[in-house]
Amino acid sequence: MTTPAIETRGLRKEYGDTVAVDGLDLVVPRGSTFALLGPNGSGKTTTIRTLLRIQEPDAGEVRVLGETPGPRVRDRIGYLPEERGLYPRMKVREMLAFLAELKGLPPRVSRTRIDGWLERVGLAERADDPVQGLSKGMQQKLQFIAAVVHEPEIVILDEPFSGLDPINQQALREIVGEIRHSERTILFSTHIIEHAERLCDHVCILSRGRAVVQGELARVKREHGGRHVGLTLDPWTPAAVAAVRSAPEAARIHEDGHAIELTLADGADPRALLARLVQGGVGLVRFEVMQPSLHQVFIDRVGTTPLEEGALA
Amino acid sequence: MPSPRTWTVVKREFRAATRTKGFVLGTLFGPAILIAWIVLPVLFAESGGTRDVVVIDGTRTGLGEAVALQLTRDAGDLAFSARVLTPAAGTSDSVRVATAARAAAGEIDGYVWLPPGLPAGESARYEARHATNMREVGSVRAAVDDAVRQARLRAAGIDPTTLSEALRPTPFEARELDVEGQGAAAAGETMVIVAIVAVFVIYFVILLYGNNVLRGVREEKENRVVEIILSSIRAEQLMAGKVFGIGGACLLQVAIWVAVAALASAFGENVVEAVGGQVPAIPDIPASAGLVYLAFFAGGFFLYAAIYAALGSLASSGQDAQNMQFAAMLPLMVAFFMAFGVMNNPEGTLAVAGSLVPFTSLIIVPLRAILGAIPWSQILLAAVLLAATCWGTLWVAGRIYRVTVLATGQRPSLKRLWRWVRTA
Repeated sequence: MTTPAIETRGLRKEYGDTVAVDGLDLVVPRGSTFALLGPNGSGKTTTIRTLLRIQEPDAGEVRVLGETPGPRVRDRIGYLPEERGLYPRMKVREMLAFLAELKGLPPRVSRTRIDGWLERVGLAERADDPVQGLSKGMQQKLQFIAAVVHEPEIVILDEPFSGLDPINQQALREIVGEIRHSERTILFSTHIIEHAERLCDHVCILSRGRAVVQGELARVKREHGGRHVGLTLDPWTPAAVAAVRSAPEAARIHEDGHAIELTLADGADPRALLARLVQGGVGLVRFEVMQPSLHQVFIDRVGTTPLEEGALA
Repeated sequence: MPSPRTWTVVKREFRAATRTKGFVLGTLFGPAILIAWIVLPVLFAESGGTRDVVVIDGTRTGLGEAVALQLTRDAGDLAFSARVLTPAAGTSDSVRVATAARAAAGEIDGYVWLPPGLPAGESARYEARHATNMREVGSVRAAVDDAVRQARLRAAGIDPTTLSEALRPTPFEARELDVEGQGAAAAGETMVIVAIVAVFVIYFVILLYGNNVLRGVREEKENRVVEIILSSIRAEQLMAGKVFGIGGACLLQVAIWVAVAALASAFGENVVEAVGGQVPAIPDIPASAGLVYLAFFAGGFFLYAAIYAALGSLASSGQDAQNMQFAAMLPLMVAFFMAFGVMNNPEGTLAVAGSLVPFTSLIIVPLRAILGAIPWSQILLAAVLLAATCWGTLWVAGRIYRVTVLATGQRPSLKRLWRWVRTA
C-alpha cells in the first residue's frame, strides 16, 4: 500500500494560551485533490505551516511523502501561501528564478520553464519589470508560478482564489484541473465551499483545530445523507416559511429563493414532516430527501458558515 | 561554508544591496573624501605673489630697517618688497595718512606702522588690503617681533646670534614602539589620526549596514515574502544568507575604499608633488595590523548584523524598529567612546578589558594593533572569544528569527521570547 502524501498524528500547535491545532489526525492520499475547509481561525494555515516545517509543532507527528519534513521533502512541495508577498524591487523573472533556485532548480533549467509559465498567464511582456509595478492579481499569478515551476509532487494552495477576478479564477481553476490530471497531490485550503466542492475529491473540515469530518467527498456526503430534505414552496409566503421553520422535525433550514434545504432533527421522520406541512396548508411542488451539499455538511458539523469570521474564536 | 540554499540567499542579498543608488554613492563618497583631503588644500592654496609694503619707522632707531630686512629675507611663495620711511619729528601722522592713501589707491599693498613707544610695549600696526590673509599678517608680525626682540637684546648687551644658538630647538620626535620592542613604528601623532579614522570607519559602517539588515528583515516580514521563502529553507539559513550577503556588500565597499587609499598612498605623493602641494605624512602601518583590522571588522560585523536581524524580526512596526536599534547601538557606542580612552593608554586595564569583551573588541583590538600596542596572545584570545560569541549570537538570533519572523501584532515579552527560543 502506498504511503499517503501527507499524514499527521496528534498534531498540536499552541500560540500562548490559544490552541491553534488540537490533536489533528490528517490523511491526504497520494494523487488526491484535498480540500482543507474551515472558518477563519480553525487552524488551516497553522496546519499547512507545520507540514512545511515553517513552524514546529508542539506535539504530534508529521510525515510528508513518507518522510519527516526536511530539506529533501520540501523541494518536492510547492506552496502558495495565503499571506502573499514578493520582493517589490526585484524583476519578475529574477524573482521567480530566485524562488525556483531555493527549491533546487538551477537557473539554466528554470529559465525556460519560467518563460513558458509567464507566457501562459499573460505576463511574458512584464518579465523584466519590477514586481512592484504589477497589480495584486498579477503578483498572485507569479506566486502561483513559484508554487508549481519546480514540478512538485504536492502542491499546497492556501486560499488560491482570493483577490482574483472571475476570469482569472476560471483560468486558475483550469490550471489546477491540469495538475490534478497529472496525478499530483493538491492540498487546497479555502473557506469558499463551492470551490472545494467543484475541484476536490477529498475533504477535511476543521473546527477549533480539530477535524470534524474527513474523507472522500462522495463518502462524506453519503454518510450525511438521509438527514436532508429539499423543498420548493408554491406559493411562497412568509407564513409557509414560518410553518417549515417551526416544524419540530426541522433542526435547521437554509433558504435559497423559493427553495429550502432543511436538516432533520435527530430521530425525526421525513414522512412526519411532509404530513405536517400538507396538513398545515403549505403549498409544496417539491419534497425530496437528498444528499447534502458540502455547504450543508459544513453547517451541520461546524455550526456556522465558513464566512462567519470569528464565530468560533 | 553556507549550504547551497543559503548561498542563493547570499547572492540575492548581495545583488540587492549593491544595486542601490545608496551603495554607489557610498562607495564613491569614501574615496572622494580621501582625494579631497589630499588635493583640495593644494588647489585652494593661494598662489603667493609679492606684497609691496612701506615700513614707517616712528621709533627713528633703525628698527624699520631691521623689520624690512626680516620681511624681505623670508622668501617663501609669499614675498615682500619693503621700503622704509623715517618721518621727521612731528610729521609721523601726515606721513601715515599719505601712505594709507597710497595703499587705498592700490599703489602699494599696505604699510607697517612702528610707533615711537614700540620698544616699550606700544602696539605696532599693519594696515593693508589683504589684512585678513593669515599668512601675510603672520609674516609681518614675525618680522616686527623678531626685530624688536633683537633690539631689546642688544640694548641689554646680549648678542642675539649667541642667544639664538643657545635657544636652538633640540630635535625630538615621538615614535610608537610595538609590544615586542621591535623597531619603531610611524610618527605618533599621524598614527593617532589614522587610528581615529580606522575606528570611525568600523563604527560608521557597522551602524549603516546593521540598519540595512534590520530594515531588510522588517520589510520581508511586513510584505510577507518571508513565508514563501521559509517553505523552502530554514529561518536560520535565511538569516545567515541575509547577514553574509549584506556583509559581503559592506566588505566590498570597504575594500574599494582601502584599495583607493592604497593607490593614493602609492601614487598620491607624485600627484600632489606634481601640482605643487605638500605630501601629508602617511604612517607605515604593518600589514599584520591591516589583517587584524579586517578580521575583527568582519567578525564584529557578523556579530552586530545578527543582533540587528533578530531585532528586525522582533519589531512589530517601523517605529518599534527605530526604538529597538538603540539596543544594538549601545554596546557599539560604548566601544567607540572607549577607543578614545584606549588611545591615551593602549596597554591599560581598559584596553585589555575592551579587547576581550567581544562587543567592544571589534574596535579596540584593531585600534591597538594599529598603535602596535597589543601582544599576539591577546589578539588570538580576543579572536577566539569574538568568533565564539559571533557563533552563539547567530544561533540565538536564528532561533529568535524563526519564532518571531512570522509573528504579527504585539512584540512578545522577554519571558515569552526566552521560552520560545528554548523550545524553537
